[in-house]
Amino acid sequence: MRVAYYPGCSLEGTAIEYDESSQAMCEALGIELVEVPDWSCCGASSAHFVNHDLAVALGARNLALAQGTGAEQVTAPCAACYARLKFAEYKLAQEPERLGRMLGRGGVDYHGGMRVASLLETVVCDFGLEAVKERMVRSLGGLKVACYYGCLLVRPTEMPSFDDSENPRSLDNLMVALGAEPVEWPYRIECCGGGLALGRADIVRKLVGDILDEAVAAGAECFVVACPLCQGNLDWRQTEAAAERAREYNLPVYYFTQLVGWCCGAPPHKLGIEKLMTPATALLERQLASSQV
Amino acid sequence: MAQDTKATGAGEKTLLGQVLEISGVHVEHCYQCGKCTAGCPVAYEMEIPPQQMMRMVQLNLKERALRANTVWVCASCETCSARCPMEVKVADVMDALRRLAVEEGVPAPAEGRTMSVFHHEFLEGIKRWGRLNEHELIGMYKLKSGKLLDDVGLGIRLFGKQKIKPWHFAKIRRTEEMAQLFAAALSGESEGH
Repeated sequence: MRVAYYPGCSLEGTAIEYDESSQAMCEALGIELVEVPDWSCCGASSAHFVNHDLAVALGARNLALAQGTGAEQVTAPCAACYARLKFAEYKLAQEPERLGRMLGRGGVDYHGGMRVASLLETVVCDFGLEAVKERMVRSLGGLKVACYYGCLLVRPTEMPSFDDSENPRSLDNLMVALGAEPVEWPYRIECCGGGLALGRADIVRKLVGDILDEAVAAGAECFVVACPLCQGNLDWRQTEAAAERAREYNLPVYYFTQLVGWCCGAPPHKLGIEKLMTPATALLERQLASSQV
Repeated sequence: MAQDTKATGAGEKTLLGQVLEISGVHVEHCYQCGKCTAGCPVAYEMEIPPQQMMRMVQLNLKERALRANTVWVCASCETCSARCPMEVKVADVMDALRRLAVEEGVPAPAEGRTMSVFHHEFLEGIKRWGRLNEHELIGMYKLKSGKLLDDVGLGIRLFGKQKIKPWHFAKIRRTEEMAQLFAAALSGESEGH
């Protein structure tokens, strides 16, 4: 399986371990990633705040470059990049003439045709859970995990989606395949505050505190996510939320790529688990005892 | 407010019409069920909650709608749009109102100013490099918002994990492509629907 790979800006910086683990996981699974040459920012989280044409233009430049690789699908690990690229493809199909002219003036020759997928979708829907299971060398041994989808993975709802917008299951199904026990909890699609992380940290601390409280109440030992904004807010703001509420959480926030990679024999040093802010290696080492397939 | 209640003169666009033109959303379909506000994770911080904003668009209360902190608090999670029984894309309306506030020079209220600075610096950064350099965004945001001491501890922890590399600037091969793309998107034919 060969897909165009759009890492996005966060994965070169604060979410470097999401890039490392995405590549290591795909190598272990046998998914060939071809990085989109000379890719640029997708525009999240600001372009659509200012102008929807600009949001289409920034997305379309990358779709054109992805098409140039010859792959039929472009996959993005980041939920925000995924949503923006999908938005560009969707809008272009709705208004091909006007937007096509706009792109032409902007120096972009693109008329649609790429399938935009999130990396979670590529693994669960295209590669398939049975194929993942075949490659497992260890399981998660009943790890109690809170699957946190956040917002952008399953929205906007007018566009075709790989999962349900109110009750998504793809992460849960993947975790079950890996031998974990996902907890049932009500905050799976609640917003973490996303792009408010820098400008309104007070709001993010409140939202993250609520999410953490619900995960703990449901018996979760950790989170699994598919978005660098979700990961950053839940992980980096965890100690601040704990201080505000005078309690302790200590819930590691794993990217799904780290857990799939860990189970499917990717070299552990390539998964970047030690780069997570809340200590996350001890919990996986504990699982090793009960993790034989 | 007096300027809000005056009758719209002939040829003067209503807020309802302006929102429709920018976003393609028919706010007149809203019948005030309140599902958007009920599901909004940040409504508790808004001076005017989403469903009341929709009513203000219907009633042409432009000044009050644009001056509220609401559009700057919106996290763009789109829960409102997903749950609206009339398929009113509430989050798209927020985008349209924010754009109108910027275009018409309505100053963001104090607690909205930080997000206004954030979005401006974000777009300036990608126009300059083609890529977002997170450390540059953080630095410019701090300088322009005056929030120099916020999150210093977090910054040090991120640096310790090698997630922030202040000496590294990512960019595309020909950064002038970005200026061309921005110009085409921002000065082109108006968004039609």
